[in-house]
Amino acid sequence: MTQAARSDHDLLTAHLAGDRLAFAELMQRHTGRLWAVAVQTLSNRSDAEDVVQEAFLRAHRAAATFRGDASVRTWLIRIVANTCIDRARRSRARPAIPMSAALDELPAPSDPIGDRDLRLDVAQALAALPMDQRLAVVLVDMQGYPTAEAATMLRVPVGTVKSRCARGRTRLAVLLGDLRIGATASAGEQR
Amino acid sequence: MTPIPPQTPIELLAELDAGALDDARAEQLRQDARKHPEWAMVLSALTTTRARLAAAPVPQPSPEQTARWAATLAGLGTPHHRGDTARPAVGCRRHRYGPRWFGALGAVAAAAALALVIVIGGSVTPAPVAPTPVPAEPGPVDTGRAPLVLSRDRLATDTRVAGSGVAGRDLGPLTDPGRLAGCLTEVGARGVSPLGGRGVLLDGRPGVLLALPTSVPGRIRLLVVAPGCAAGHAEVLADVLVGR
Repeated sequence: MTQAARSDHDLLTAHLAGDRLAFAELMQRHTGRLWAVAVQTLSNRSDAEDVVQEAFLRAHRAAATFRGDASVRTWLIRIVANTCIDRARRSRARPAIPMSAALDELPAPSDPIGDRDLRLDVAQALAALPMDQRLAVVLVDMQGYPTAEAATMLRVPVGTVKSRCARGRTRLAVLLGDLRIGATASAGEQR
Repeated sequence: MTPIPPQTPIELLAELDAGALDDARAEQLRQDARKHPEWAMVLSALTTTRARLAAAPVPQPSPEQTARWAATLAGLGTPHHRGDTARPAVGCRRHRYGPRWFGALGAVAAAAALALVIVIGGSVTPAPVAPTPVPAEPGPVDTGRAPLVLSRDRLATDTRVAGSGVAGRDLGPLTDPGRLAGCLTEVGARGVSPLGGRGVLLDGRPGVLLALPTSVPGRIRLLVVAPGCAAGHAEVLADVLVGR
């Protein structure tokens, strides 16, 4: 006999009603998504592992306050995003890559393929972004969530998400070597 | 890559790329972009960056960590069991959540993880020992230097394919510049410098994916040629335009 899979909302309701297995099943269903957001946002798997675990606990504590004005998935990723922000604040001792230093290291490529080794990889480049831009880029560009859902996850207007993505992508385009801005002038200044 | 003049309205173009401008302003800017090649270069660069971001792989968590997560979940109770909710069975990997987290690591974690699998999975099979995170969406099979396994349909619709092509730098048999130039000439892309490329298995056929820039802002040409592509001999397996 097969049993229809319970929806996320059903599982949360069952958890609140005393079903001891429902919460674990719900979290298991979303662990991959939570992990992906955490590890790409923090660029540090140790911190990301802790963030997912902490998000489980926060979600457990906050389950009774879930109002249903967004999907459970959105709610859970909002928790992870907030936990990432808190974690980043506590980890300020680990500095991000300074933009100027990153730009100094960028080559002046003549061969788009051969010079790619010298550029920052995606994780390094993301770490150079402010957290608000980083989260927007991770949710929209890397995880593929619609802008409107990302806005709900981050509790900001849609336009704010778009602007954060725009600024973040521009910096990433430079850091990843896809865009060179005024390099000729810079080279002249260094002489 | 030609540097973009500093006076280029990069921030505004990025807002256009992000859909942050109103329709009238966006249309005006698109028209202006056709008159300014450097503006088109900015839009193409942003498209390339978005494709690269979409293709970035998600590293997998360690088995030890997934076991810890499972153990934590197994130790959480319901809101009606205050003791359980306040005291998970095992705690964080590090000493960050207070002393109550450190009572039951090791064997208890393993036992709880196993119990969770048994309960949730409905099986007594001991492995896997924990929930295995999976990507939110199915994607192309990317195994690093191994050929990227993909279908013709996905080539045009999955931005991660474009990103993988842009990020790739192993052109396999087309690594030789002379052979690459001959191949590109044969396929009508004489003198074009690929943004990147890599080996693929397209619907089961081996090939080389080349990500080529185009003259249209924000658009990339994804070309898959047979491994034997060279001057006088080119077999195009797929040729699609992606982006705007």
